[in-house]
This record gives sequence, C-alpha cells and structure tokens, in this order.
Amino acid sequence: MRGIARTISEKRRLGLFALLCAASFSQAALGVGISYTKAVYSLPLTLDPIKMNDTSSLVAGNLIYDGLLRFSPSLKLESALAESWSTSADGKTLTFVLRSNARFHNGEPVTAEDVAASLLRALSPQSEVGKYYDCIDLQAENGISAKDKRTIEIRLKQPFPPFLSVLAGATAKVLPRKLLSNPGFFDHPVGSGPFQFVGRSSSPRKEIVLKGFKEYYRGAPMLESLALLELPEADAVKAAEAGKVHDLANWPLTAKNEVFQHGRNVSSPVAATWIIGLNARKAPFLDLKVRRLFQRDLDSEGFRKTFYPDAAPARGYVPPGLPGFGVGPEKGLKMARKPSKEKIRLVIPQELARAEEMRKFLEKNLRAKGWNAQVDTVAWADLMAGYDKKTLQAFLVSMNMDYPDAEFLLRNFESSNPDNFSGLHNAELDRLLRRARTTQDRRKRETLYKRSIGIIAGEAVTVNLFYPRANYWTSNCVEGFEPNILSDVYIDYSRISLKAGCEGKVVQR
Amino acid sequence: MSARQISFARHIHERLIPFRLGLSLAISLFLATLFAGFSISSRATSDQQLLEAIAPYLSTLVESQDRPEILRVLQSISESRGTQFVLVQDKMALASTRSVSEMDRPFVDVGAHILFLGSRYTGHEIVSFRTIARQGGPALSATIYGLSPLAPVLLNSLIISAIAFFAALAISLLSAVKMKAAVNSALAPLDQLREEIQAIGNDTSSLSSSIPIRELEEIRRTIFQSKVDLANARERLAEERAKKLNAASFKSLIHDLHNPVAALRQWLRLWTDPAASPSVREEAAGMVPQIADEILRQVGAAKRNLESEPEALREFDLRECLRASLSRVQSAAGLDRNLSIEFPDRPVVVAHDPDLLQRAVVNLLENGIEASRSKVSLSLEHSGNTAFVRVADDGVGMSESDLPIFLQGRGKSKRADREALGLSSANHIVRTHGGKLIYRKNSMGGATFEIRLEAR
Repeated sequence: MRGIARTISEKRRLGLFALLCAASFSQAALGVGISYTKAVYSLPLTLDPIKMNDTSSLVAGNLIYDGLLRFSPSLKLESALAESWSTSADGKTLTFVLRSNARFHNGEPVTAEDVAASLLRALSPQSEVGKYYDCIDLQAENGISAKDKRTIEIRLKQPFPPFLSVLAGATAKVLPRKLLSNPGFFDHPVGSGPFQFVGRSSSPRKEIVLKGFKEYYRGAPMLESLALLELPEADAVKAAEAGKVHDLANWPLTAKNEVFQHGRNVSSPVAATWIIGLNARKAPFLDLKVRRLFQRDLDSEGFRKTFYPDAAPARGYVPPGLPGFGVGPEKGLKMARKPSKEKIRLVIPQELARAEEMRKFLEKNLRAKGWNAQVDTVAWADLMAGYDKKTLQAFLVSMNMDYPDAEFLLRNFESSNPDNFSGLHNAELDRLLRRARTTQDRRKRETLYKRSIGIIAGEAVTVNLFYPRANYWTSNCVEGFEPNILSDVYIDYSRISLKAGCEGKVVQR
Repeated sequence: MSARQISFARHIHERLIPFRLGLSLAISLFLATLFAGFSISSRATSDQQLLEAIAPYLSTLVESQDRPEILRVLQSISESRGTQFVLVQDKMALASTRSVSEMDRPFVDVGAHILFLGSRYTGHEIVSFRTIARQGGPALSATIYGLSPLAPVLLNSLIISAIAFFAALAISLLSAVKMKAAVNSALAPLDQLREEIQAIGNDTSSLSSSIPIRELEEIRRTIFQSKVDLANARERLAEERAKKLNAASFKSLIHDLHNPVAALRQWLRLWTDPAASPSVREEAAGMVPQIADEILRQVGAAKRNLESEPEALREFDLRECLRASLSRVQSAAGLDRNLSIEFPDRPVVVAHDPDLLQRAVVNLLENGIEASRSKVSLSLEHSGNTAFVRVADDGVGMSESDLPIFLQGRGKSKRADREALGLSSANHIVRTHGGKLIYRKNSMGGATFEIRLEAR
C-alpha cells in the first residue's frame, strides 16, 4: 500500500554536525559537488518503481524516472514522456505517442518497447504495485503493444477512468528495457527523469547524490546536482536552522515551528489522512465491536491539537477534496461495552521529532480508558516490514495517495488486495469497488465510493487522526518551489533554482 | 529687440500646435476610456456568464467533494482566460487556481471595492462571484469567485490610447502638411499683390493679370488707382508750384526794373533841372542814355528769361541734372580745364525742371570755364532741406557791386554779353525754382556761384 507515506523519527545520538562535516568528504567520494541538499526522513528503501511503497522511495523515483504522464501542482494531467495520448470510443484502448526528444540518462531514446516492458514489469509477480495496473487486459492479443518506436497502445479489461492518473503516478515509470536484465541495475539505475543517479553512500552520512540531466526533454534542470540526505526530523530541523539543507519538504511541520524563522513556509493542503491502522487479523481487533470502542476511545482530536494543530480534524478516512470526504459510519452501531483486556501493541515511527511524546500521549490516553496498551517507537524500515507482513496490531501511518482518486485509498480494503493492511473481508465492499471501477459515469461512481466508505467506516479498521496540512520549509535561497496537493513526492525539482548569489552556500540567512 | 518674424504658414502651424496636441490627447483619452470601459464591462459580463455556465457542473463536483476535478476544470479555464478562480465552501477555500497554499484555509474576501453590475472592482481585479447551486440539489454554502486582473485591460487601454494619440497626431501632422501647402497656394495671390505693391514702390509697375481673390484684386486696384492719383496730384502740384514761382520771378523781374528806372528818372530830372549846375547836367546828359541802354538790356533779358519758365516742377534726382549739364559742357570743343566733380552717393531729390535747371548750370559752368585759369569745380551738397550746387573757378572773380547788374541782365559782357546774359538767365531760372543764386569769392581767388534749392 503505497499510501503509507511519511514517517518519522529516529533517535540518533550520532552528532548531526559530525555528519554534516563529513559531507564534503562524501560528495568528493561521489565525484560531484552538491548544489542542493534535500533532507529526507529515510533514504529510499528501493529504487525499483514496482517495489516502491513508501514516500522516501517515491521521492527518489520521481527524480530519477519519468512516466508517460505527470501531475501538475493542481493535479492536472500533463504530458510527460508521452507527447500526446488518446482514448478509444469504448474507453478501453489508450494510445500514447512518445516525444521524439525523450532520452534515458545513457543517451538512448525512450521507445514504445521500453514503455511496454516497464508496464509488463509492473504486472509481473515480483511487482508490489500490480494492483494498480491489473485493469490492463493482458489476456487480449495486444494488451500492451508497441505499434512503432514512438507509439504504445494499452488495452484495458474495462474502462477505468482513473487509469490515466495511475500512469501519472510515481510507480508508473519507464525504464530502459535493454538494461533491465542487468542484476545490478537498481544499484545504479538509469531513468529518463530530470536527475540522473550518481551514487549512494551510507557512511559517514547516508545520502543519494543525483546530478541534473542536461538532455532532459523539458530542458535541463536548473540545479546542477541534488543530494537526498537522510536525517531524523529533529536533526533535519537543526540542519535547516544551521543553513545546511535547502528544504524539509519530507516532513509535515507545524507552522509554529521555529525553523520557519530561518526560511520560508510554503503551505499547502495534501491529500492524506493520518491514521492508526487496526489489523483485523489480530486479536483483539478481530472483534468489530472492540475496534469500534477502540476507535471511540482514542483521543484523536487531542492528539491533533497536541502535535499537529495546523492539521484539520479528521471527518472520515477520505481527506478533503475527494469524493467520499466526510462520510462516516452509520449511527447507532454496536460496540463493546468495555475495553479488551488483551494486550495491544501500537507502533509509531521513531523518526518523528516528537515520537517519544506521542508514544507517551497515546499510551496514557489508552490506558486511562482501560486499554492494555503498549505504544512503541520503531524504525521506519521495521514498521514497513511489519506492515508488509501484516504482523502489526496497530500502527501510526499517513495514508498518502499516488493518484487523486478515492479508489486509490479504498482498494486497500479489498479482500483480494495483498496490500490490505486491515485484513478486512467484506463481500459487499468488494462488489461495490468492482462496480465502481467499471462505472464510467462519474456521479454513479462517486455514489459507489460513498457506499464503500460507509462500509469501511462501519468496519472501524482505522482511527482517523487528522488531515495534515503541509508546511514545507525551504531556504530563502530556493526559488520555484511549488507544492503539489497530492504529495511532496510530486514536487517538480526540475523547475527549482537557487537565487543569484546563493550558489555555493546553502541558506540565505 | 524686434519680434521674431515667421511666415504665415509657420504662424498658422505654431498656432495650431496646442490644438493639435490637445485634440490628439482628447481623442486618445476618449478612446482609451471607451475601450477600458467596454473591455472591463465585457470582461465582467463574460466572467459572470462563465460562472453562471459552470456553476451547475461545479455544484455536482462540490457535492462529491471532487477537488481534483474541480481544480482541473478551473485550471483549464484559468489558463485559457487568464482568470483566477477560488471556490469557497463554508468560508473555506475548497479549490484555488491562485495558490495551492490558499486551499483549506479561510477565504479572505476582497477588500475595498466598488460593486457595479453584479461584479466587484478592486484596485487590481474584477471580482465576479456566483453562489453554486444545482436545481433540485442540496444547499452547498459554496460560492465560486472569478478574479480577472485589471492590469491587462488597463495595459491594452494604455496601448490603444498611445496608438490613438500617435495616429491622431500623425493625421494632424498630415493635415498640417496639406494645410501648409494649401496656405502656400492661398498665399500666391498675396505674393502677387506684394510684388505689385513693391513694383509700385519702385515705380515700375503696370497693371498685370488680375488676382483671383476678389478682395485682394480690389486692394490691388485701389493701390494702383491711388498711385495714379498720387502721380496726378504730384503733377498738379509741380505745375502749381511752377506757376507760383513763375509769378514770383516775374514780380522779381519787375522789381529789378525799379532801381534803374528810378535812377533814370533822377538823372532826367537833373538833366532838365535849370537849377542844376552845368557839370551835373552834363553828367546827367551822359548817364541818361547809359541807364536807358541798361534798362533796355534788362528788359530784353527779362523778355528772354520770361520765355524760359518751367511749366511744372517735378521731383527728380538733382545729380542726374548736374551730370547731364556736365556732359553738355564736356562735349563742347576745346575744353582744356581741370574740371572736378563732387556729388553725394545718395539721390538728392529736388522739384525742378531738368531742362531749365540744366541750362542754368551750363551757363554757370561755361562762365566758370571762361573765367578760370585752370580749374573749375562742380559740387553738390545736401544738408537739411537744402541742396547746394556750387560752380567754382580759379579766375579773377567779379566785383560784388557789379553782381546785381549782371544778375538782373543789365550788365554788358566783355565777351559778347555772354556773361551778362548767362548770369541773368541762370538767376531767373533759379528763381523760378524757388531758389537763390549766391556769389562769393572763393579761396582760389575766383568766383563761386551757389544755387540753393529746397530739397526733400
């Protein structure tokens, strides 16, 4: 589930400045000077688009790779590698014509065969994002076919309007077919995005170094190079205050954070919901009534006000601005009379700056209500591993979206979805979602979505905490930073530049 | 300091400059205002109509909270129209094409504005708005705001204004060029009139082809007639003056006879007085015939002089008369004297009869030449209202007591009465011109005869 996005802190006692002082050594080792440093809560867990299920990976993927389409900051679909596209009258056949000047970082042109190979790969067994592409009719004779070097045709099983948004998403990336057989390809990936991979270091500091791709079809990026530097949130804030990084877009900061005294606040809503996911496979959450009581007892509004006062109170699973927003469970649903005595382990990412405070808050809150709760902070990678293996009882995550359609969030609860973190099995919900996918009428589809959301709300598999509002910190040196309401993953770094006089120094104080 | 003189065409051009600039400015301002008003009104109406048209569709999207689709729709329209949109629901910005940061924040309504024809006008934008509702749909508490910048409209107006200004100015300049040509064409008759007036002044004019402008032609004819009348008046004046002076000179001739006649009478009385001594009587017997002869000569001279009186005294340059006189004397055979001349450079205008005055000057010159040893001079001087013609020689001069006798024609010349007749004639002619003939001894020991005439 690609929705699980940004996460949070890690108590690193390793001195921040020791790390930063080692930066020049690291960059020299990679053979490139850094003109822009973007702090990230984690380096990518993978650089393979079909295995990306976390924001850190998606951020890097969007810089290195490019897809057929892209999202504008306001979610308009724009051409990317595809120069133009068309949809057949029956809505089942999509035809894309590639740009003639699209090149991979190795200089090879991007061809329709590369697109076909990449899409087929997304549908392969090793893909973790196959569910977004399963509408492609591979049984058809020409499910995905390259008509010529620049024309690719995709045949769908049924009309699926959000599929264009899927193709603009962060996993629908086009890779060079000829190089994919190379087993070490993703250690040094080649894409067609605005930045090309230079290298990755893990010591003395964890970073990925990229350099601007001068032959990028939209024009060479204005940044010569860009580093993704892994830092815990608290250290990242200190680094920002010290003028060592250019943006903290990877963290949902509050507007009152003191770091904004040292730079700009680019504020934007984001299509995300912070939740505490409940695993219905694990006791005591096997019991719907227990889940409902847990949902009621957890002080989500107190949590929001304490830690993210800028965020909007949650009114359901779907964030504002999407069909299904505000839909809650039916009233009068039955719930357990008292909390379960069974131990509940709730995990939160330790990379969050106030992870320890959160842990205490939640533990105190739940115990005060009579729950036998234990709240732990864990490393992001460990949390993700538990999420993937469905071993966690409860976990705090942000549900981000890859494409702006409620379908993205709802399919997480489909019985057949291997990424179904809740373990929910609801035949009616599955039926509604199947119907929604094949319904071209917008209004009818929205009605189906709302009914689906009603069911999910009634199943109480999420405690909806809040809808975050991003306060992106950027250095005063940074120009052209434009937020994207879908996610910070889609911020267009190819248009970002540094003010005159800021080259060579990080922050204009 | 004299005022700057300019041509008539230039004068008109300069006088019209303020009007030309003012008119151009007025036209440009008028057009700019008209264009701005029309543009703003059109834009506001167009925005209102657009909001009216998309409101039902937006209501559907707002009902379903489909912000991505709302943004796509509004962004597309915004990109094509340059209008920004903010969709507000429950006082919160649900969608905004202006700024992503604005969304999910309380909508800050426009500040100071003017409400006109259903739109609001701030200092920099036209704000149109419409409540979003769908017939039969739920109440949404949503409003769509369309914000069109005023700057492009005003910039276009400014451009239109500038174009109109320069176009009007160009047209005005073109008309000025045409007008100048027309004025120059219109001034041709005036030039003709001016040339004719100049010709009248130079006394070289004659009535040429008529001037095509009636008023100017009348002026020309009036001036020409005035010239003729003036010439006639002058002629009459010259004749009257001549008559008057002739009469006066005749009186002088009569008066000149008084003394010799009185002397004759006295000598006759002595001659016939028994009481007179014989010697007196004898002297008287000698004087009576002598005086009688003088009187006879004087009467003869007067008779001849009266035959040469001017009919009219017209104003001419006296230098011409003197040059003609000199020419006549110089053409005489046997002239071996040193004859010097001194004339002023400018004309000396004197009312005279050139033939008669020439005769007088010739007489004086011939007398001077005869009396001179080697030098004779002729000079002309103009001082005040008097012209002085002087004929001088280096001869022995003459007795001043004899002068009246010779001037009055009673004298007897040693050279066949020439001198006597010449001086008497010259004296009479000068008298008929209202002048005086004066004699004096000069520094060379000879005679200087000076003719004094009234000059203009």
